[in-house]
Amino acid sequence: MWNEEYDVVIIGSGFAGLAAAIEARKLCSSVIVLEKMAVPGGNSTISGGLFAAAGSRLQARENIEDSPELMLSDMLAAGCNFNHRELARIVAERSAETLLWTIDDLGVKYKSELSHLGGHSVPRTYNTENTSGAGIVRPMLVRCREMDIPIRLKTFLAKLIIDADGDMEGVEIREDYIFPNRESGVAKRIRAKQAVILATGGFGQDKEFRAIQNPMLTEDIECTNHRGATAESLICALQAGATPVQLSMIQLGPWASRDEEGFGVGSMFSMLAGFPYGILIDLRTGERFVNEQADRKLLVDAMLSSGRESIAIVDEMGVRHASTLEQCLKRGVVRKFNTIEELAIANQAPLAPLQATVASYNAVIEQGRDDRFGKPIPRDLEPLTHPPFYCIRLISKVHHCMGGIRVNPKAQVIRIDSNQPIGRFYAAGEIVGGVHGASRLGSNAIPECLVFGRIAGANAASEPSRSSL
Amino acid sequence: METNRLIHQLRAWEEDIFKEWLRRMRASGCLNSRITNREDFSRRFAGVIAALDACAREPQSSRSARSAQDCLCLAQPLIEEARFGQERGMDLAFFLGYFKTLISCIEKRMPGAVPDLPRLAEVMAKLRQVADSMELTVVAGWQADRPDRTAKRALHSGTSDKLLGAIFMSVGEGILLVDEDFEIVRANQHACEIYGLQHENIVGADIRSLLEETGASLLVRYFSEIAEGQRRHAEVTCLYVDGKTFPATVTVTRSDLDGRMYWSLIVRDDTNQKAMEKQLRDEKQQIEEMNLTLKTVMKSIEQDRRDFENRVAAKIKTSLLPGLKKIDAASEASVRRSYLAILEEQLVSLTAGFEKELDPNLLKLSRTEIEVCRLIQAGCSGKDVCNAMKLSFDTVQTHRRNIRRKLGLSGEKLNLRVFLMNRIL
Ligand SMILES: Cc1cc2nc3c(=O)[nH]c(=O)nc-3n(C[C@H](O)[C@H](O)[C@H](O)COP(=O)(O)OP(=O)(O)OC[C@H]3O[C@@H](n4cnc5c(N)ncnc54)[C@H](O)[C@@H]3O)c2cc1C
Repeated sequence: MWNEEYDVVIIGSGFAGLAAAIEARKLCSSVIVLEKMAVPGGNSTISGGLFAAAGSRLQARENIEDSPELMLSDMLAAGCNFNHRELARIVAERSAETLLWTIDDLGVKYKSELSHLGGHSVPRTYNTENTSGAGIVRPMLVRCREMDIPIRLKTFLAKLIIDADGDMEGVEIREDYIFPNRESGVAKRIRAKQAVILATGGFGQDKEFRAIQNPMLTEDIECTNHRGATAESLICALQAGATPVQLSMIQLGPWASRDEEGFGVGSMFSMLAGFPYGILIDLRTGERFVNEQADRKLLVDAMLSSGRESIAIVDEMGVRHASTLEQCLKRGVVRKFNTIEELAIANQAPLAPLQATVASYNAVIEQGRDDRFGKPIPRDLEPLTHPPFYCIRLISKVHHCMGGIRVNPKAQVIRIDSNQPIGRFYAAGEIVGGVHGASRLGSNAIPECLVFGRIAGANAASEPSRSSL
Repeated sequence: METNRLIHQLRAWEEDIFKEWLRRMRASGCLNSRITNREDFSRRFAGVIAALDACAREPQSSRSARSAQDCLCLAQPLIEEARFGQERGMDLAFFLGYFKTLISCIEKRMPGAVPDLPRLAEVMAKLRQVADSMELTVVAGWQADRPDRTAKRALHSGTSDKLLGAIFMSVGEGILLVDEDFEIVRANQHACEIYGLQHENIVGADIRSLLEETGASLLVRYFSEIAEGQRRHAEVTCLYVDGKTFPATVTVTRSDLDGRMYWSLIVRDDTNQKAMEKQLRDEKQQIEEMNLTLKTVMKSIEQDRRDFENRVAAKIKTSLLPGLKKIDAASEASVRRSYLAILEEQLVSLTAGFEKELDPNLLKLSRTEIEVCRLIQAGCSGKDVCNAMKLSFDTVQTHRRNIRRKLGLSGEKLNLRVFLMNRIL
């Protein structure tokens, strides 16, 4: 009946799955990670590597006052209080220690400068040295190899198997699966002596499923996620009795480029330079229309309303913060102009209004006035007076699933009918719903996935072992 | 009135004009069966005649004031024809040739149609004006429509690009395209799998980060050495995403595009091949070792045999042959017997050095005694020997005593079986 048996079986090889594997393996002797794609890492490895932590070393160095409470209140504000507060609190509270774990234990390298992302009250975002989540995933994969944790690729979770007592007993998989062909591969059953952890990420690429949850997200809306971000594992969990949470809360990223596919290199340009140090204008009017540092939901809503065509403009000073600039220029995602006039002509924007917009924005900064859209004006913000000027054409793309299945603070999956944990069944990462409420703040997913991944791993490996077959 | 006659006459000559037009088109090498369709010609001819008709009917006064706009109206049917032609893939030069030839054929016929037409020159000028404005509009339209056409073409090349892209992505070997900054600008699915990297991660990465140092510098050297179109192979050690290393063969080719150099790399993961090679090597080595052992064994056997033969030959020469000669020479039986005894000893001594010795005393035993010895040697007890030979215990004891005597063991403590153990019976 069973083909193989491990103490802990983990599905998904992103931040959450790998963190769970590393913690679990410390407490039990056999852990396996199953991954349907031909390469590991999911969304995690293509992410921007931005990591929010409240109370970090860099904050201390910069005398930035921050606390888990402040981070939590930012999360609740962006999430419109849809957040499952207890889970959000755990993320905020453990963000700093988890960041330290990546540095001191895994050896992850970060840039020495903090970023200030939209919706956060203070700069609290670390960025990996290579501006990519791969900067964290790689050391995790190395650690897994050292700890003898096999990561079995091309292995698709087809079904979760519950035993007679209603506890999770194992999984039905398809081995040698070829994405996205559901018929490919060979069916097998793997038993978990202690527990199963679901860490299969979001479903942003599942056009059908996301349109069911939010019909406004039509097929033609692009997506930043890796191709494997589909909903079948979520459906498996629901079949096993898990509780769905806020599945329609699907975030669009306002910073993605119109001139490349997916997340690309432009998104990080907007996030790190275009929005904080530049302006966002509507090409049809040449005017600003929103606080560039608002959280993603507000930005996307503003950008999508009345057919705006948005570009972000930043000058030579602000562009220093854009770590992907060279690649952006090389790929034509960001264009460079000597004057605002040239920029206006190339983008077919009305020149006079654009000049007026830049002038009045500069005046706000120079005179220390309040911005009429409420953009925070930190002291180090410079007016846009240093040519050349850079611009990126923007389009909103589906980015993150706030919704998912419900877990308790121990990362146990909660049954929909009994409101009690399903025995021996844990979940972590983007597959879990509720942490971020209506809108996830940038750089908050990495701490969430790592914090809850580690919790799930440690708890799963502490379950009493079933007897061997 | 004259105008009516003119138009009427020209219409009547349509067939002739068609033939003339065909001849001239053919002469200019423009004949193309798809485009010289008679029906199309008829329609276009009618269009030109209609324009001509309109020109001829214009009141004299307006002739100089004819606005471009009016011309355009007249030219409209012809412009429609142009669109029609364009859609069917006619190119602009050909289309203009078609109408210029047609109009010129008509013009040629006009004087003959109504010889005394007073305003002939004027009508002809007007017709030219119409033709010109048509030409302008058509040319402009053709250009304005160009984005559409190129879009279509781009779509075409887009699909072939897509096809190529699909092939590129699905090839069973890793392919990487690297630019002058050592940046990977394209990578196929297999390359992603070989390195355990997602497409987003591998594109934009420095090629050197995928290789161990020596391999990386070798590759960089190849990059600088090879000319366009040239090809090089390298055996390198690559890095998987989790830090594991694996052997790979890389084929590097340089291709120049838009004045920039690109290198395409075909990467083959040799882990399996290397494992197989190693197995083969191991097997080969084992076989060689075995051969060597066998050879030594054979050699030593051969050596032993030769030693043995030499020894036997020497003995025969030094002892047996002289003995035999002496027996031959001896006349007395007693002397002969004693020589025979010596000979016997010598023969037995030939087997000295054998693991089991041929004891000359054994030759003294009778057949029954030898049989008894064999059984004792095989570990049989006295009783076993009695049973096996169907003899009484006493008889066997007698045999044993005789045997001990003949073997010179009487009174010795030595156990008969131990004595017999190393001897050949
Ligand atoms: C382009 C991009 C940039 C981002 N940048 C940032 C950032 O800078 N900072 C930040 O905090 N957040 C960022 N995020 C969000 C964050 O990266 C994700 O929320 C996070 O990576 C999710 O991690 P995970 O482990 O839950 O899932 P994933 O990393 O997506 O891993 C899930 C894995 O499970 C596998 N899987 C799915 N279904 C099955 C199945 N049926 N069987 C077997 N395996 C399956 C998938 O193939 C995948 O590999 C970004 C997201 C994207 C898409």
